[in-house]
Amino acid sequence: MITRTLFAGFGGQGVLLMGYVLSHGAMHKGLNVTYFPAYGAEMRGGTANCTVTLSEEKIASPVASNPDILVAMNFPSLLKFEPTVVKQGLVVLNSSLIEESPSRTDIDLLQVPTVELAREVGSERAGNMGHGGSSQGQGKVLRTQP
Amino acid sequence: MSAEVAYKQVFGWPDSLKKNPTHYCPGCGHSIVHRLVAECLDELGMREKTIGVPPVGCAVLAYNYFNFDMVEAPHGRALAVATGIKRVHPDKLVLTYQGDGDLAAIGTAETIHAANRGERITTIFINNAIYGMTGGQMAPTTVLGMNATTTPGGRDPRLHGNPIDISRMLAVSNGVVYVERCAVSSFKQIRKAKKAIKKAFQCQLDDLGFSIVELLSPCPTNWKMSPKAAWAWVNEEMVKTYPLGVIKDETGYEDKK
Amino acid sequence: MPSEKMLMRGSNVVGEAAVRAGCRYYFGYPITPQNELPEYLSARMLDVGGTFIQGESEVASINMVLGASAAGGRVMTSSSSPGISLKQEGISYMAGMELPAVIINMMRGGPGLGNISASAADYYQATRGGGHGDYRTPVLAPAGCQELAELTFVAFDMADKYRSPVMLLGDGLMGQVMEPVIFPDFIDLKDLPKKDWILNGCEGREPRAIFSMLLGQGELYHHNLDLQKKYDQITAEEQRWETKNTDDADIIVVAYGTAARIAESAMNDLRAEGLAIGLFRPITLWPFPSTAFRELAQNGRKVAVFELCLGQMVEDVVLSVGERAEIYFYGVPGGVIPTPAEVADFLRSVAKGDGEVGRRIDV
Ligand SMILES: Cc1ncc(C[n+]2csc(CCOP(=O)(O)OP(=O)(O)O)c2C)c(N)n1
Ligand code: SF4
Ligand SMILES: [Mg+2]
Repeated sequence: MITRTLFAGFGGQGVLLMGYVLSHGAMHKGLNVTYFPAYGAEMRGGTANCTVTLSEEKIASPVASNPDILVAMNFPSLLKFEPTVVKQGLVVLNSSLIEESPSRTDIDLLQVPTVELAREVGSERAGNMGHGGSSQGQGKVLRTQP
Repeated sequence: MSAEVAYKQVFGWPDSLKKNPTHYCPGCGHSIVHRLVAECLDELGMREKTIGVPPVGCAVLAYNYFNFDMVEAPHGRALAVATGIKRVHPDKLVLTYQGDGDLAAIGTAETIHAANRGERITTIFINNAIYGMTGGQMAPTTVLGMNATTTPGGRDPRLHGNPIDISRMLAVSNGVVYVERCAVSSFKQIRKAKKAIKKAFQCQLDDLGFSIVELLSPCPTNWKMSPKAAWAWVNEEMVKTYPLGVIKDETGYEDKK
Repeated sequence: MPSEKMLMRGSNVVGEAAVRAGCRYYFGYPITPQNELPEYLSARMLDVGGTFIQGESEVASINMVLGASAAGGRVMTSSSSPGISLKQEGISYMAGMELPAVIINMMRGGPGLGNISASAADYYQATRGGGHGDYRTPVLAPAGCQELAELTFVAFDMADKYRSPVMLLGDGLMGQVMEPVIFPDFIDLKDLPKKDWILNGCEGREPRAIFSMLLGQGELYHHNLDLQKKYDQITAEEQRWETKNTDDADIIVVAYGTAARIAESAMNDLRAEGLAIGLFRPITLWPFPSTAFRELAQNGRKVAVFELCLGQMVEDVVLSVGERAEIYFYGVPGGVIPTPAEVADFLRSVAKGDGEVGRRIDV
């Protein structure tokens, strides 16, 4: 099984770190991993995304045609990437920032109040971690691991 | 036998110079400076511990004349090449030998930055105010009013810019410990030049920083002068733009009289 | 001992591999998308007592490499497309002077300043010499982090073996992608090849001179013939490539580096649809693995070339197989990264022969 997760948001939200943490964990679980970051010339304030591919088999392309999971940290990311998600894929939304809902009905949706969750654990800056965790906690990824 | 013992050799062919006839024109400053460099290295006992970088310019074939290890550099890049060598062999004496076009036009960036890094390298800078090798075009150091093949009617600052005094520019850098401008256009000046070159090498051996000796050097061929007139032109005209003397000395050496 | 599995980005992988391969001298000038490499090495060289200099330009950096190589150091520089253009003069000199070094090009979109995304538009420059004069540099094209590590070792050894600059050709994406890597063990510096031609002071021997200017009657002529002999030997002995699913394939995709990985994904998807696609991935771009490819591209198979540029390697494919096979090409211009789905569309089109995606090359 191969799972491609696209993390997207604006620079400074820790989007790249979310992907990195997932990649690292998966590597230690013995999975094959590719982590492919994409960001504009400006690291802060611009858009940022990364694609993490996890598989038990060798991974060919780090570039994915369609993600199985989209983790959208802001509205522009949802708009841009929602159409690319596979059918029956999962969209995880940062509901603290995104009031809108996806228009598609052939996907699973998980809304995570990132900021509120993070505040609960004592640091708003931990929002990305909570959010990244939710995407995988849904079971779509770690399920590949017996 | 005893008669021979009574003689002491006071002059000979330096070990650091190969016994090859040079290709330099009669009256050219390059051959004089070659000789001075060789004598200094001999006196310091450094011939076998020296690696040199010749320029692209009239002295491009210097490895045929100097009797120590040498590696060619692309035009202007001698100090970058020398940096690479010195970092591999910090215990060797590394020198570059460069013309004004090489050092102060195409290689300006390499020159300034190697000097500013304080590379433990010594540069022998031949300022003949002209592009010798390519046939007498304007050099960055060509003095105002001087005729070069690309400054018809003489160098005009509005048209061709001003002569550059790179030695003084280098002197402001903290990486540079010793800068002296000499000439090889009179016996007195030649002796001074030798002292300066030796001091510059010493400065490297003592790990003080970057050192450079600029030598005003006649190019009778492209100046279209006799060797004698060329010497006179250096002494009377060229020194007005490039005054001789120590420009910077932070060596702390007491000059032995 | 090989390292543990480490998650690292491509640029850093090259840096770590270089240090393990015995490289102790690095000279370079910052340019995106490979800045992580000099950043990594600036710290790593401190650990191992090596030299790192951020040069004042790519021109200066390649000439520092030239000097360090002449002095006997195992030396490397890296850059991305515009910077590699600036290094060409120095590379030409080093080819002429037969000085070994490893040069990394993490290609970005061009021409000019272009953009900082991945591209493969420097294929001509890399494989045809790049600078002036009649020379070639071996070019290695890894396709992922593990291979970046392994080919960095190969590059240093090839450089020393043939006394030639060797280029490792990656791209902006490869430099950024992270994958788990297991590094080969550190080379013992004592085991590095002995060089009897270097400049280290002429104590106890005749002075040496290393130069490329050969003015004597016939000297340059013979030097070029000698270089050519070396290039012929490299061409005969160093061709590297990888094949996948080629035995039963009706269509062979030819792609290298990042493009090969995208093509491989497309191939896997299409195999599931029942299309018999195989992959031929050149690992040396010069010498191009023509011998193996010519053999493969027989028997009525179609050849489909995919590049992250508008068609450069395809010329080597044509030179290798000529009219023996139908050749199709699909390329994406510099700085845009296509998905496997786009490449799959091309391959479907090749299978049907409808010419909808890509184009047929007229040989
Ligand atoms: C890249 C490059 N550009 C131009 C040249 C041509 N060239 C050779 S020597 C030279 C000028 C040399 O003048 P200078 O450095 O003053 O040395 P001189 O001959 O006067 O001693 C030039 C322009 C070259 N060899 N390489
Ligand atoms: S052209 Fe000038 S610098 Fe060159 S060798 Fe002749 S006199 Fe010397
Ligand atoms: Mg000159």
